[in-house]
Amino acid sequence: MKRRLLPSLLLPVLVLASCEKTPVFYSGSNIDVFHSFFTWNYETTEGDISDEIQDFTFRLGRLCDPYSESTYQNLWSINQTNDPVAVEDDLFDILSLAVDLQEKTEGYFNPLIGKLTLLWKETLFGLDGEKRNEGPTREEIKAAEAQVPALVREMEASSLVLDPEAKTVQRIGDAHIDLGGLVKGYSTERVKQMVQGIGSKHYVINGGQSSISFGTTKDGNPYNVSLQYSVVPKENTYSLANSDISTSAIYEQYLYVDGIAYSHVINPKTGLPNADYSMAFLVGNNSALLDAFSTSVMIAGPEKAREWGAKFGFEYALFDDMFKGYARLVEESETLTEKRVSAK
Amino acid sequence: MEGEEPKKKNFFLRHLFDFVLLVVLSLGTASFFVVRAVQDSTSIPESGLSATVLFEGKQMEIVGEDGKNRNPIDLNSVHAYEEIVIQGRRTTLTIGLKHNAIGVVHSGCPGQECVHVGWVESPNQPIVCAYNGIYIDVKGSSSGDIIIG
Amino acid sequence: MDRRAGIKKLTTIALLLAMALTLSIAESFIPFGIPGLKLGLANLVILLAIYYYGFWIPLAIDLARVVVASLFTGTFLGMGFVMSLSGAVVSFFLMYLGYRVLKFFTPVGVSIMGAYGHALAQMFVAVAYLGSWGVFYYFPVMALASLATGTLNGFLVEAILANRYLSHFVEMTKR
Repeated sequence: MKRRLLPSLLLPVLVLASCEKTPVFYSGSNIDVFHSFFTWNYETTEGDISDEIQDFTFRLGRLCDPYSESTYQNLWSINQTNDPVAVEDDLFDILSLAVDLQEKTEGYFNPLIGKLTLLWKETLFGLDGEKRNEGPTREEIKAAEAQVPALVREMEASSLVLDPEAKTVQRIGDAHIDLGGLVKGYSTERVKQMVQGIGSKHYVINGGQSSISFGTTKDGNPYNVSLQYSVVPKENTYSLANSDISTSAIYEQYLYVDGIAYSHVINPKTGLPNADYSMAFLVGNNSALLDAFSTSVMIAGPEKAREWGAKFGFEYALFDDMFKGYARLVEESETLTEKRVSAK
Repeated sequence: MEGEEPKKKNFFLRHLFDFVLLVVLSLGTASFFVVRAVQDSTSIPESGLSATVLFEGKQMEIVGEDGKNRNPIDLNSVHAYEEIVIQGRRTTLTIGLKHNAIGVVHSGCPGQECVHVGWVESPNQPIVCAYNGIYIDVKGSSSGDIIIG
Repeated sequence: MDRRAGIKKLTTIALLLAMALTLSIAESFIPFGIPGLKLGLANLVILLAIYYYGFWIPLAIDLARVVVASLFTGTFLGMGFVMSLSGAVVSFFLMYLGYRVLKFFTPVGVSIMGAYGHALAQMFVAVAYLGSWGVFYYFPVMALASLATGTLNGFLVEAILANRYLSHFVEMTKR
C-alpha cells in the first residue's frame, strides 16, 4: 500500500546576505516496495520533490518485479520470452548496470539467479514466509540441493542481450532474471542523485536498511553508523559523512541446519544459500555498485574484497558468524578502521 | 660559635614552617593534575571531539563552505587537514583542524600564547587568545546516528 | 645629612623599581598558555623592599612596576594588565602579612605565599575575563613553577638580608 508521511518542517533561521530562502526538511516514504521499505529525508531550499521520489520508487518496484504481471513491460514479461522486449529507460538502465556489475564482480553477482532464489526461498522460508518458525526438514533441503546443479548450468548458459538503440532486452536461455540484489541500491542511488540535484547537503535516503545514502546531519556533522548485529552493541560504529553504505547480511533471514547456516543470500557459483561469511559492510559513493558488491564480498571473502575495494573504490568490513547470531569482525579496510568511533 | 652539625639542623628548623607550607601547596596543586586526569579519562567521548569557539564569551558564527554555521566544530568529522580563518577583536586567527585535534596555527597577537599551545587533542584543554577575545573550548561531542540491523 | 639620606633613599627606591621593572618585563616572555599569566619574578625585589622599607614605599614600587611594565609591553589596561595588577596586590598583601604577622615564616615562606597568591589571583581574573573555569587547566603547571621561583626568591632575599653591608646601607637611607 502506498502511504505518504506528512513532510516534517524544521525551520532553522538562517539569514544570508542576499538570498533569503530558508531551507526546509522534507521526508517521505514508500513502505511496501522492493519487498521492503524506502524512506527519504532531505533538506533543501528548492521545494518538495517527495512526489517525484514516490513515483519513481513505485514505478521501479513494478518494473523490477519478476513475479507479477504488470501494465508495462517488466522483469516478469522478460522472463516469459526469449524475444527482445522493448522496455522503459529506467528498466533498461538497471539491466545494463546489472550486466556490467556481473562482469565487475566476476560473476559473484548474477542477475539471472531468479530460479535459484525462488527455489531456496520456498524451501527455507516458504514463499510467504510461512515456514519461519519450523524451518525446512533435512529432506526438503536435500531435495532442493538436488535441483541445484541443473539450475546452475542453466544459469551459466543464459545471458542478456541489450540493444541501447532500440532499448530492448533479450533473454537468452531459460534462467530467470531477479534483480533483488541490486534494485534497492539502484533506487537509493537514483534518489540520492535527485536530492543532490536540488542542492541538498543534509539528507538520508534509506533503501530498506541494506542500502543507505547520506550527507551530513543538520549541524553539518557526520553520522555515527552502527552495525547492530554485533556482539557488543555499538561495537561496530563508524563516523561517516557524504557516503553510500551497503550491508549484506545473513541475519535478516537465516537458519542453521546441522551446524551450517542457510540464508537468503545465494552463491551463484555453487547455487547454494551458504556463505563462509555472515555480513559485509561496504562504504563508497555509488549505492548501486555497492549493493552488488556487498553480497559478492560476503560470498567471495577478504581477498576479493581487498582487490575489488582497491579497484572500484570502496571500503569494507567483513564479518563471520563465529558467535552464532552475532557478527565477528574478520577483516576491515584500513581507511575504514580510521573512521571507527569505538575500538575494534 | 656553633659547629657544623647544629648549623644544618638550624637551617631546617628555621625554615620548618616554610617547607611545610611548600609541601602543602605543592600537594594541593598536584591534586589538580589528578582531577584533570580523571576528567580526561571519564570524558573520553564515544564520538570524538567538538570545539566551540567563543568570542568575548559568546559562541561566534563560523560560516563554512556550504553557508552553514560550523560552530561548534565537529573535529571527529575532519579527516583531511583544513584551516579556517576567524576574526578576533584585533586581528585574525587561523585555526587548524585535524581529526580530533585543533590548534591556532597563526595569530596576529603579540603574545602568541595561543599558537604556543599547539594541537589540542583531548577534551577540556582550552586555547586562549585574550588579545583577540577568543576562547576555544574543546569537549567530547555527539552527532546523529544511523543504525543498521 | 638628611638630604644625602634622602637622595640615597630616592636612588635606592629608583633602583629597586628599575630592578622590579626589568624582572617584570623579562618574565612576560615566558608563556604559560594564557596570555598575561606570569611567574612573579619581580616579587624578589618587592619582598626585599618590604623587609627594608615596610608598607607604603614597597606598595608604591609594586604598583608602579606593574603599570610601567604594561606600558612597555603594550598590555596596558588589557586582560594581562589586570591579571598582573591583581596578582601584585594579592601577593603584596600576603607577603606583608607574612613579614609582619606570621613571623614564624622566614622570607622563604613569605615569598612562597606571595608567589602562590600571585598565581591564584591571576587565574581568578582570567576566569572572570574569559567566562569559563576551563582556564584552570593551566593552573597546575603555573602554580608549581611559581612555587619553585618563589622558594628560590625567598632564599635570595634571605641571603641579601644577611649581607650586613647592604643592610647598613639601607638603614642609613632611612634617616
